[in-house]
Amino acid sequence: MKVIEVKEQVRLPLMRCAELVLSGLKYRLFRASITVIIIALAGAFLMVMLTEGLIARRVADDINVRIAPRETLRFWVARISLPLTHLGLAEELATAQSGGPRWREYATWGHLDDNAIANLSQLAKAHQKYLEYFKSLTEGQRRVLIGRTSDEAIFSYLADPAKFEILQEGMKTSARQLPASMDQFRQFIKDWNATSQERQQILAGDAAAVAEVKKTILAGGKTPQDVFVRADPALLDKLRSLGFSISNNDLPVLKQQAALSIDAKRLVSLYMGPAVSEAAAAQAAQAANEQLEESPDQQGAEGEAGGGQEAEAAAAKQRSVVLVKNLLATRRDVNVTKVNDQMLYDELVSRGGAEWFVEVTGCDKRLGLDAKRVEQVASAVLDQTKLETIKNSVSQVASEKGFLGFNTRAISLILVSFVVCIVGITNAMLMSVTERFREIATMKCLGATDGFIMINFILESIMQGVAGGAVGVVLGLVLGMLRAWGSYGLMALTAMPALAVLAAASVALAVSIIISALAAVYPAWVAARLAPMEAMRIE
Amino acid sequence: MSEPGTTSTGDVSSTAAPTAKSTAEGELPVIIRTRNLKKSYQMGTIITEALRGVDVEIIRGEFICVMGPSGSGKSTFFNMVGGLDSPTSGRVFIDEVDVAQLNAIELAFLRCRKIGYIFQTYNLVQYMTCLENVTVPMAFAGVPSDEARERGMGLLDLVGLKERWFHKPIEMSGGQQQRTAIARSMANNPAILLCDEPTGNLDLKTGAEIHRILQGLNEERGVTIICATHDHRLIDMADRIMWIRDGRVERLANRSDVTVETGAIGGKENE
Repeated sequence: MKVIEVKEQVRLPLMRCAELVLSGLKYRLFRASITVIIIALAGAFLMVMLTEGLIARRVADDINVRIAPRETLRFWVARISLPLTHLGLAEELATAQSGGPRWREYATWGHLDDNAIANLSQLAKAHQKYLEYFKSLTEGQRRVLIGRTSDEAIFSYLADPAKFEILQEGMKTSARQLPASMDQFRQFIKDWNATSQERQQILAGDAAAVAEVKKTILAGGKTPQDVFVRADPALLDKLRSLGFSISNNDLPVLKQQAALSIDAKRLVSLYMGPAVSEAAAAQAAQAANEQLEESPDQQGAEGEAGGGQEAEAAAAKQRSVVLVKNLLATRRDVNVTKVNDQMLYDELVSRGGAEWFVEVTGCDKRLGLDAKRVEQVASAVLDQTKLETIKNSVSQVASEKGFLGFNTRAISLILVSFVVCIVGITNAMLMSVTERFREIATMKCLGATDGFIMINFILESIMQGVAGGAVGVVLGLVLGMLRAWGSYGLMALTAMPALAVLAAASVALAVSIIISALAAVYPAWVAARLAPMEAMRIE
Repeated sequence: MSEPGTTSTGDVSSTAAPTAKSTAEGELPVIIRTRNLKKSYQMGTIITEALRGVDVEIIRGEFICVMGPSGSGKSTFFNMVGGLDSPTSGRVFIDEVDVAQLNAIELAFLRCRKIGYIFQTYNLVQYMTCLENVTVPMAFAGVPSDEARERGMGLLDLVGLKERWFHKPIEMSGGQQQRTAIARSMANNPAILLCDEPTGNLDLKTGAEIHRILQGLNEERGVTIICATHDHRLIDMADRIMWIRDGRVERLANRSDVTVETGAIGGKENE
């Protein structure tokens, strides 16, 4: 006698569910692969963004470190030879490190205490903000609001209540909005103009210091580079006594960079000058002759009967003064007019280029520049130029703030890609549920609980998420690296922040899995709700 | 009433013999009892009454055939009796357990162990082998896989498919698929087998194999078989025949009281 005794249905262990799902996935490989591709695309998109951002940031950091010495020289050359302008000071005040070396300079030159400088710094930040706003206006709008004034003059112009009134009216009629309230702006103009005396003091102090430097240190038409290349602690002491906050740590950097800068200038002036080597001169002359012989028709067409004579004269002239430039043109196989500094440096770093240059210009005897130094200088210059080009392209990406370093546009793009992905997966799974309604209903007739069906579908999606996420991460990593390589060159690969990229990969993978699990919830719910009697239906 | 198995007493062997199954149901153990069973479906604004009050008692070990034209409420009756759907009003007792009182998980338990289902379209899982299909209900019942495999092979032997255990449904004929489905329905040794046109998609010869197997299960194992069919030879094997029309039981007769002929059974035209 069989006694019917109803209890709760047992729960199937997760492993058994996974096994069932896997065998089902193998059977429906084609449909599953489509879902996997959708997930892979979304994952790859996220991974490309992450990888690119990480590499860009690392490259930017690297570049900043590598161009720092050159920037130091540039800064000090400008600092001691050129007095600050109003705008320059305002910009510096807005960005200078609080209590840092610049503040000490302002304190000395302007006879100000830290509080006054802090106040100036705050005002300068607001100043930058308002200035940017006025710059963003069109010429016509500016004319209406602030007349013909520009830059720092705007704020003294607006100090006139009548003019401010005009601005206020103008703002009301146009839909534009200042970056702060009108009252704040009015207050700012008052404060800014009130502190004008203090800024003047700083500027005057700086101008006096620069004038003193010109009279003493740079006396006799010496350039700052000439001074820095022979710099010693005594020079720095002298500069410090004039108020310049220069650190002794900068001394070796300044010396090295100044030498590099001087030598680079020498290289350029040498290649613009005449060649000294006899052999080189002869070679150049021969080349010039060949050129003439090769194009007799052209010569004839140009000068008719007198053409021959003119050509002779030109050849003679070329023979008497052979410029290094011409030799370089021959060597690089280009027209002389196309020769530029870049080409020179390229030649100097190529094999044998430096030796050739030394031989042709005789610079080792004249200036003590041997082939090794020539090559070193050229490669340093090329390196710096390249770094600066990359810096310009990278700074945009790297300076972006916000969540994970993405700006709002990138975030919205990523979110949209996720939504599209979720919709895609949900659609694919809903179709799969419709196709498998008989199988699902039969399973329920055989004793499957709603929970089992639900877990079944979500597990299936998670498995697809793992596969798609893995493919996407690899794809995204490769694409991101290729793109970084395209924009930053080899630096992108040497600057690979491996650990951060690994973290990004796990984030992308986790996100792919979560997305696919989320996308499966609705189809799984539909499947779980399917009535078991559907199994009886006959199509 | 909803207490599981409280009134299930008696000896199955005494009811196993077809001759013992008479209309005097009061003394015999009843396995399925319906009380004024009604079911209506709402389709838009129209309410369709599929069952308009069915009172039936099905006796343990019985082989009962259900007949009726399409739209008669036969499928609805089937779903109610099989615990696949709940009635609008009225009661269904399976072994004195009120099906309406069970929650989803208990229903799954009931479907898994107490009732076996055989479908016209076999409904085997396409990506599983013959043996895997048979062991699915055992997996749901929590049977360890080694034991399930052993029992599954035993069931396949019963239906004569032991040699083909590794075949996928697509590699088998309709008859073989239906035999697999029968083995699957017997996986957890159910008390009731619900067959929905088991031979509907099969030719006469393969249909006969199915008949033989079903009859064997009924006679040797004492399984109650409820079978919706139009197959005369299957009806010929039944203990009782039930006609459903317009949501009501039109007639319920012992096999011995009706004559089975081609085209007409018991004088009723079979649509």
